[in-house]
Amino acid sequence: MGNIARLEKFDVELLSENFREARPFSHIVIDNFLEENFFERLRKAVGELEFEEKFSDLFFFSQTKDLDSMENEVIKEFYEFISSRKFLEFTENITLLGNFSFVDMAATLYARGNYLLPHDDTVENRKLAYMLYLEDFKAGEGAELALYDSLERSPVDIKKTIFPKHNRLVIFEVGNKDVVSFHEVIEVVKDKKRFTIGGWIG
Amino acid sequence: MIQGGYLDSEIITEMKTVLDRNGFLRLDDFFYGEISFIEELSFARKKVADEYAYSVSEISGDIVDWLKRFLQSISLGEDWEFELQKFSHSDYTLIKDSSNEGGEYLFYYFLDEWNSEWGGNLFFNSLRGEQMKITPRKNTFLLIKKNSETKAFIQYVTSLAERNSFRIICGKI
Repeated sequence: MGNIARLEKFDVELLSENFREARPFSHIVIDNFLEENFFERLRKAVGELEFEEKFSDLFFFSQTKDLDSMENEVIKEFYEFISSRKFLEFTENITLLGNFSFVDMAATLYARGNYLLPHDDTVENRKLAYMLYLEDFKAGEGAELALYDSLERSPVDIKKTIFPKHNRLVIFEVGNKDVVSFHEVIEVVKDKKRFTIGGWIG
Repeated sequence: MIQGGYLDSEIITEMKTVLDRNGFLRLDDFFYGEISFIEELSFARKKVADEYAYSVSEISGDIVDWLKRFLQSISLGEDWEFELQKFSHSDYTLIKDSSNEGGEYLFYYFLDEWNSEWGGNLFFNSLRGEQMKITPRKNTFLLIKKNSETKAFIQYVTSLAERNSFRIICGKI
């Protein structure tokens, strides 16, 4: 079964209900998202990509260039899958946030001491953020995605954390004039590498 | 007491020239003698997650009087706001930190030695557009002339710092 055909096995109605009722803002966690064989090939391919260090007041991590035109067959297949009409329909049916027409994608690496501080991704045209985790992390190692409760469009407290787990897909609604979705990636505090592949959908 | 050289009128003129040219002024070994009169203060945590996270303490006494005297000597007025801040693991400030808004100058007086590998470095853009990185160093004074591109922030302090911390007296006018 290919990854597109595999989308049929998910209970979209249940995922949609979970997405809309999730707190502190709309999000969904889908485990075992890709076919395991394909996932392992993708994980290996991402590990061989070239990463560039990125630093600002808000973050410190390493990232690849956009993966929309890679020669690597596995990366290319994953990009084509995520940008396919079938996958976009899948996300449209879960989120009920209208029609989507673009996807961007990059791989990101957080090594020890890397972080992404609390922020909202509000940028016009971005409706969803998505990330596929390639590695497992557990409590005490850092690297979890922290979702913030907000008050008057400011982050208050961490309401929920989501740990990286191999082949786990996370999708959340990006902030806009009506929605706030403050989040952060907690510092990696062990000598482990947190790889993800993801980006925005709009 | 402030090092005598920093109160010398010729050196003050030179410092003003450097400040106008570069947009910042860094003075090492700023005070002489021990400054133990601020060792006993208690700190309270202060956090606005998308702006800053650190601990603060009220500060008064000789050190404030001397800092004000120095700032007056280089003609920067008397109406300064001061705060003693302490940074340890998971503390930071972001460019959008609203407490940096307003005023024409920022100043930082560093009280402790620090390892730049632990994060916690101060970054800002000079008038020449270069991004400057200042690692906290005991008894160093830094004055920054603000402009729209200053974009000052204190880098997140990582877990490599373990239980270490550093303190800064921050002010703006």
